[in-house]
Amino acid sequence: MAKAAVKTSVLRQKKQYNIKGYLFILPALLFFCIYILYPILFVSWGSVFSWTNLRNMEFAGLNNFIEILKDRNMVKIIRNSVLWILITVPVQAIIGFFLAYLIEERLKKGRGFFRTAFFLPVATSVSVVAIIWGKMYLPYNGLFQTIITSMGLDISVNVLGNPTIAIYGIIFTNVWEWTGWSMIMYVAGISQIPEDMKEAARIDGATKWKEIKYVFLPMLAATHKSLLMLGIIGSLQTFALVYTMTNGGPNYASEMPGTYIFKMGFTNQQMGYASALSVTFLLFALMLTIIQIKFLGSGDFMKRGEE
Amino acid sequence: MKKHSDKICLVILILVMIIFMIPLLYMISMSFRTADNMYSPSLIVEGMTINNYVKVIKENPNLIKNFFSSAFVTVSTVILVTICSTMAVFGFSRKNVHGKVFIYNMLLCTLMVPISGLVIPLTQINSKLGLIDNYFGLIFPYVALGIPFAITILQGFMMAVPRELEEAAIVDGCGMVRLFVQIICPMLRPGIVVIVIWQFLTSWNEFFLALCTMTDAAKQTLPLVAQQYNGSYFSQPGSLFAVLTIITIPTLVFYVLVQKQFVKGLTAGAVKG
Repeated sequence: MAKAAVKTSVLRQKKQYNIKGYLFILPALLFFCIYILYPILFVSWGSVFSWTNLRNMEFAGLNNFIEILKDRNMVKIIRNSVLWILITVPVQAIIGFFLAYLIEERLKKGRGFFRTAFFLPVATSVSVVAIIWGKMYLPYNGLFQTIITSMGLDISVNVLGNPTIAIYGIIFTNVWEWTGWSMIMYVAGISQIPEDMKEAARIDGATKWKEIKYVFLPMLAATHKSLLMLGIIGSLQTFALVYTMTNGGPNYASEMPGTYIFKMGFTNQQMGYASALSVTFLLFALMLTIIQIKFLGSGDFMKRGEE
Repeated sequence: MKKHSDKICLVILILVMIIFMIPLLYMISMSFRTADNMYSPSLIVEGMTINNYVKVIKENPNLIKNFFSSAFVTVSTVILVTICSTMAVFGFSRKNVHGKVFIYNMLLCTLMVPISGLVIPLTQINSKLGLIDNYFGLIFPYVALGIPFAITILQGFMMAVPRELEEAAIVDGCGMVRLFVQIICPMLRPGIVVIVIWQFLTSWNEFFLALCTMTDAAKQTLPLVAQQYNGSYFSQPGSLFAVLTIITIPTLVFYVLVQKQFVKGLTAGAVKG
């Protein structure tokens, strides 16, 4: 007892610092402070002013935030962001999982070929994807319209020009682009499932569906989690697809946070308002991060102990 | 019986793949067409020509520079993110680094910080530092925003490194730097593969900050260039698709070449999220 007490008091007196350890963390920390922390402080400061450039800033208090609450486009932006996350994350995961399952478990030859084929959209530049799909969605002579007409149907579709479906058209494009990523992550996950577990399921007479349900899906928990995290990150980052395909239109119907910030800040030169939008958006992202860490873990790092 | 179901699976895969390939095949097919049969829905039409390619290559001498801009920005970002995050993760695992939990949690909170939320301050910082039209005006922010995710991925692998291995190395007189380079880095390799690929894709595709930072036509990255062609070749889809194909092919070839390494690296260790 006494010995332990002495030991802790000695430790308290001489708190040792591992200088080299700090040096290893330093580069990451520097980047963080200059390019994340400082910009966050800067944009928060800028959000309580009304300004177009740094030389003519006028204090505006919370006016910008009050404007946001009154802004009718905000409803559309929130709806679109939520839709984006709720559709892309599960759909990409489900299709990606089944592709990975079919490729890894049901094929004897040609695995590399199929993996490569499904991954090609991911490797294609996002602007290129946006332009191709924009052209395919075109009314009159876009690919979809041509196919519909050649099937003898007299329907005209204008996906991106229709306010109610424009956002779904873009989400569909995003799913096409990123499903290959989910597939490759599941391919990696499936390769980690021990053979004897699959074997055991088969000996117990499990059908393919039961095998998927009770062996594959639970064993891939880590992959589901990373895909959820990356899916949300990707959804929040969305800019190029919307900017190129509809530029947020028609009438703000497909606006996402990024495109709206761009419009307000750089097109309309309302930097104060755009900063306030950024702050709101950053808070939203922080909230999602905290929910994610709380419920799914990611922060279980110090478990290995401080000894 | 079993063979029968496997065949059905193969057929399903082939069908899905064909549907998946339509947009890329469409792009390539359109790039070889003349204005006359532009909108025929078949893959191959009469009178296909390479004139579109000849034309856009002649008209766009900057294209090769843009390609190198993209490559330079992406490769530098990937290298810096990898170095900084592996070092940080190693630093976090050391004893007597007080306050590391706080630093780690702070980084973790910015895991999902979207670049769109920071574009306004980042462009202001870039213009103050004179980094407008400078590659580092893109590279530094990309690195900063890439580090938190890289650290969370690598942390899972760092935790799996057996303590005994490190202790054995230290007993054998291995210094901290050597321990990091020769023991820890190889152990983190599967995680590094994931972050390299992810970082490559995000930097290669980043559009918003590049749009606000790069005004010099010769220094612009490929996503911006593609976007501009969409405007300038609006009425000439053949030329537009030719230039898009030129932009796309190098990355596709690159991916096909590294595909084996990539999958091998990924499957060498579970992805711990």
